[in-house]
Amino acid sequence: MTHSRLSSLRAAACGAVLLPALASIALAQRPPQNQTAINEAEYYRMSTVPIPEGVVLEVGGLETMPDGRLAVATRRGDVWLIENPGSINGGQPHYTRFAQGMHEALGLSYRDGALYTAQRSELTRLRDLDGDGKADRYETVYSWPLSGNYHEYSFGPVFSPKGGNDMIVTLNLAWVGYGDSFVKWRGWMLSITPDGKMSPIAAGFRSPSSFGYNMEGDLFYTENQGDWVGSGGLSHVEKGDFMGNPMGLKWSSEPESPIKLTKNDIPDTGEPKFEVAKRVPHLKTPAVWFPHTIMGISTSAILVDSTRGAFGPFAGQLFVGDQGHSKIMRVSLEKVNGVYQGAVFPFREGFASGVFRQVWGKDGSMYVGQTSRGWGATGRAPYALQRLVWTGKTPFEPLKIEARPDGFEIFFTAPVDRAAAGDPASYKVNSFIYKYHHIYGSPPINTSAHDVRAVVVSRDGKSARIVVDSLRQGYIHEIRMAGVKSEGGAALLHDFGYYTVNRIPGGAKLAVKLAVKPAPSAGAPSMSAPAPSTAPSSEARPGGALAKHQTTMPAAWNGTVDQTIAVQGDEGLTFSLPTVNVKAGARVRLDFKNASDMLHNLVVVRPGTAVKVGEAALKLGLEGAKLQYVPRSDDVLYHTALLEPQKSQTIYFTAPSTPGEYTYVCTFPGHYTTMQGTMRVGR
Amino acid sequence: MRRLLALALLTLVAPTGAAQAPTSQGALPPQTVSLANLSAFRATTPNWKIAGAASGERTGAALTTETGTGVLVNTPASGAMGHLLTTWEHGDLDLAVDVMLPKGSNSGVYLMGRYEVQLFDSWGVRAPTFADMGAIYQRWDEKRGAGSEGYEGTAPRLNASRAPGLWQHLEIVFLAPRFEGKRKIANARFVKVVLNGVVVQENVEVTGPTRAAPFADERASGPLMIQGDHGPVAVRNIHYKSYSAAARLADLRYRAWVDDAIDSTWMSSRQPMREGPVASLSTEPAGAPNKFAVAYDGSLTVPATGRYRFTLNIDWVGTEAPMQGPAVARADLVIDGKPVIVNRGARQRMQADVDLTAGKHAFALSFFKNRQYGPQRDLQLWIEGPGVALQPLHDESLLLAFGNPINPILVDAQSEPVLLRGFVRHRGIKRVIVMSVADPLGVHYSYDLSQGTPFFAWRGPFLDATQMWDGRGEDQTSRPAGSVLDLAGTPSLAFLTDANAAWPDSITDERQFKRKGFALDKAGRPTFLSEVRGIAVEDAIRPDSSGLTLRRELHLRAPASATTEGLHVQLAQAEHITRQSEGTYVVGDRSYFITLPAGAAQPVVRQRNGRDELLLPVRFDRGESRVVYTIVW
Repeated sequence: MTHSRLSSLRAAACGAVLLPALASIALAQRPPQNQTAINEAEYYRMSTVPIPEGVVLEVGGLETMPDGRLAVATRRGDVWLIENPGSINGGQPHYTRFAQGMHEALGLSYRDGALYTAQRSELTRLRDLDGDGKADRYETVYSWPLSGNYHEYSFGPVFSPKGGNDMIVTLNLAWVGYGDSFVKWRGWMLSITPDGKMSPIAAGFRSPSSFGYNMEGDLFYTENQGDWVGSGGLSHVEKGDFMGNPMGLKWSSEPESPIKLTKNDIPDTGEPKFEVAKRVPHLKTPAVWFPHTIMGISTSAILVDSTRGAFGPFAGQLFVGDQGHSKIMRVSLEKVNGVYQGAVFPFREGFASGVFRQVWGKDGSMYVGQTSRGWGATGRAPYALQRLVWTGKTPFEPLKIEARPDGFEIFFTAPVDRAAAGDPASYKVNSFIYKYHHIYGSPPINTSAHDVRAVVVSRDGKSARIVVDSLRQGYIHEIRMAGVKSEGGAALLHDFGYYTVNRIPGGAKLAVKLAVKPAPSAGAPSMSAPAPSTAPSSEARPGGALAKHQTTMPAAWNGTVDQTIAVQGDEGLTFSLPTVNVKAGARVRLDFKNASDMLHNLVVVRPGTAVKVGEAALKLGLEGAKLQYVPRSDDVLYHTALLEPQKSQTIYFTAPSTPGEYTYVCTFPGHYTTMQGTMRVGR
Repeated sequence: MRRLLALALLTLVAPTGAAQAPTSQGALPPQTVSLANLSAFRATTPNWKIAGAASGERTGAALTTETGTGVLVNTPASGAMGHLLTTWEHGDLDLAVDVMLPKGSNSGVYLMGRYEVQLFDSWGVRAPTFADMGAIYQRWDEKRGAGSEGYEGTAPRLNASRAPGLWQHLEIVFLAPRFEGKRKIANARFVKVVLNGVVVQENVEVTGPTRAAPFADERASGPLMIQGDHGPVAVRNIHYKSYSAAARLADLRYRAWVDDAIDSTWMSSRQPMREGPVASLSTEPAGAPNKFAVAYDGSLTVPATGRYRFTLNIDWVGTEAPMQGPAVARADLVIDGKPVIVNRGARQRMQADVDLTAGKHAFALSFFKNRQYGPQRDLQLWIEGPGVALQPLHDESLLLAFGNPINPILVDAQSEPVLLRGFVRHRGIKRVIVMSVADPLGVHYSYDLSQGTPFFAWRGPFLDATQMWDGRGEDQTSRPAGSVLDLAGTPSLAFLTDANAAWPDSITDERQFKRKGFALDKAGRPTFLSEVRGIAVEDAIRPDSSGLTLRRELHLRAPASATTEGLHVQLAQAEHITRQSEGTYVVGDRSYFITLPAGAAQPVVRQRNGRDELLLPVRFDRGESRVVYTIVW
């Protein structure tokens, strides 16, 4: 079942490349593949590695062996070796089980004839001494305690690239309605030698599923939104750093700890993290923030482009996966005043399951290991292994963004149309940041629009220096460049990126005549518009009709309702009730409770419009958070607010007078394809 | 002891999800058949005797007895092979009994003297039939024609039997046939047969008496019977509860509140948001999953005067601090205006006994849930009393678990051993560094890698991994799917400074025990590696070729620098350990045997803190030592 669905996805994607005329027909019969993924496929083709029946390849770790075989560690504890995963010469991949029985192996690295993996309670070395192709030694390199909480995942290892054999592992916090560290080194990053000597490197981790090195050999990790984490991001980790979640600091008094901070040293004020970091030594802010829901919802693997061009024009950059959104993003980094910062861009979406691990094949193609069990993903397969191949065509993309004293310099993969790229109106810049507090996640705060005052296009046409009013140190800058065209008139494949300005570089400002500060126009970014106190759809409608977001019982109902419905948002992107029945015109009270650990809303839409409304919500971008991801649309009938985990809200509405099958859907980005229910309106 | 052990296992192997009904542990005490003499039984032939103890060898076809009381022993002989029938008769019955068979023996427990659960020495049988231990034996009808006379036998789901000469524990829940006048309107039914802790039969209807029954007719009551004419058997601890009536709730009304700020004051101080008559108890009227309160009022009618036991379960009380306490939960059961159970959220389950007169009583139950996290919202209330079987007063069809079916994930060994790390519950504690090992020969064990000790051994199906691999696997446990032998699970190796030094319950200091992983042999079986104060340990547990027993070999190598003085192996720890013969020890209440190879150094039985320990000092020869023993059950 899964296989045939995956192969039809592949067929749809290939059809778009090879047979454009047929693509729309193919798509009409197949699961929806959005236009972005179809466009991306022209440059990066996705294929699916077949998995034998009975092999549950929930990818936890992925490694390329020196001979080109793929090694895959699974959440069920097996390690599989896959020969010819790319079906070169038309052959089938061949699977051999190398090892079994490990406790949720979430990482895999090869070194000197051995595979290393982190189980929940230890770092394990797997060796095949008798040469039969299967491990016969499972050696405990280093072990750590467990409390028995399911959320105590352990990730890694990754070998240091700077010579030596030191390995990095990270240990997740337990989850009991909030993250907590019940046993030693939960919430920490550790360095371990092959002979089992451990030193703690850094603290403050929440759910550090992924980490890796850039070309310079510096270590980065990705974090997921949650308690003390306003949004996902990519952070540079150095010994002695405190990354932000204070629960693991209960072990900072241990003699090995390089950090002396305690939980009491960490203020819980909701100020931006960079502000707090001015007062709290060692507190590290991300090199690049990934705005939640726009650049994924659960960042995962980091893979540096070491292919020297075999994978396209992004050599040296980082590819970062996203589990919940089944996609991969791209990061360009630079160091300003000794501090890493840079930009995140969309890269490739449309993967079959939740993207968790990436490695390079020997031929410079990228293998993408995936799982969605327990954490729903946009790609609905429970697990998958896919391959991404550069077609040889260079996409027209923003290659990288660098900070300048008075703005940014944007580099492109191909020469631009000088007139379009030189027009300040081709760009929009907004800045914002997140709260740093114990609460799960954060809305964007302190948002501000910046005028682009001048643009200078380089002589070769491959970069544009934009002068921006008052850069804000510490803030995320959204840079939109919808007006930029290539020499040939093509639009950018992805026309925006998010640059985190940790430091504003010194140096000369650009000597150009600044454009007159434009008057606010209809085209001004929505971020700068005065924020309504509630989402627009909550305003009462004329004629005494109820608001779409009606949270108090209308007085005219005289305290009675015809029907009460209680629905909750559950784990795995589901509503607790797949169907509810209401009578046409009934006065309905709906109690919605978010019982999961993600953000959810409940939006009742007209029959057959759930995907349309969900896509519209996805396109809201930064405005989405403010609108609770409820797009302005006549298809939206009633909705709750976007609720944090464990929050509840009651709304009131009068059921539609037209019977039919209406849909209720969570429009939080990435959820709408899965998280749906049917509201049957009957007479 | 045997009985409690088996009951603990019953809890362990019960499916998770909806809370389980209280086992015999939490229920009212049963009636016990006195085995001081044979006065509880009708007159019979001299093959039935009262003894003080019984024992058997694995290979012997006879039982050995000691004088005394408490154990029934049947030794059939020519001219003396009568059955044993109770003087009392029963209808619906819960029965718990210990039985012991010598090698090759055959007997049976006949409910109402008519419907047999087979007792048989089925040790080692791979595919049990209607004639094996725990089977519902066939009925017989000559009119069906030669070769087809036998019908309706039901094989046990799996072979849960133990070796000859060991006590085995059998529990039966039985419903008598129902009659309207002389006409039978419902067949007799084995609701459940549990052998050595695992369910081997469930909901098996029998249309008439078993082939060898002494009665051909069917009636509303009959005596309990042990079969005497086939082979030797020992029986003890005959406990039963006999039922005739039910309790019932009526005139129920509910009031419900839903709010984020719900607490225990809401039920007494606020107007309900909804109220009305209702047919049954559940959390359903709340109409909300997490923050609600419900109060019920009504009447409870009990059939007889006597002591009733109530068991109240609120499953949203968790084990971690944010999921329990007075801010999270409370439940109050009030009968005739008097508080019977007041649960302030410290634990899920509470019980209370109340003396009630036959007839109607005022009933009130109120509860609230205000929990941060988790879908648990089931509430259960059970009652049990004189002539009243343990019965739910809640509506089982409305339990949340019924709405969320989960496909079980079962793991078995096919052609090669299966290894599986994970959490395993043992004696109520989650052991977290555990490897379970399945062998294709059908014998399996769970091993605590952090203590270097096996703690479960079993035959049959391997593991149910559902709670580990479904969704996030929030419990993250797997559980043995067969009948489990509970080994102590204390560390196997320790240094004793003197003969009276205590054996450690667990070891956390890596200098005392450091796990190093394991090596697989050619067949894929693991040998666990560890280091004990510099001494290298290889621990190999292997099945015998028939897949019945486990042989353990500890191979120790001490470098010249290591101190070996005082190092001991603990082969077993239990309330009782006795030496049965040269090289054979009986552990627990005849729960299992430990055997040593011929000529091996003999261990000593040491008593400490009311427990027996089977200890062997480790003697090194040129820096090496091997300790070998076999677990037989």
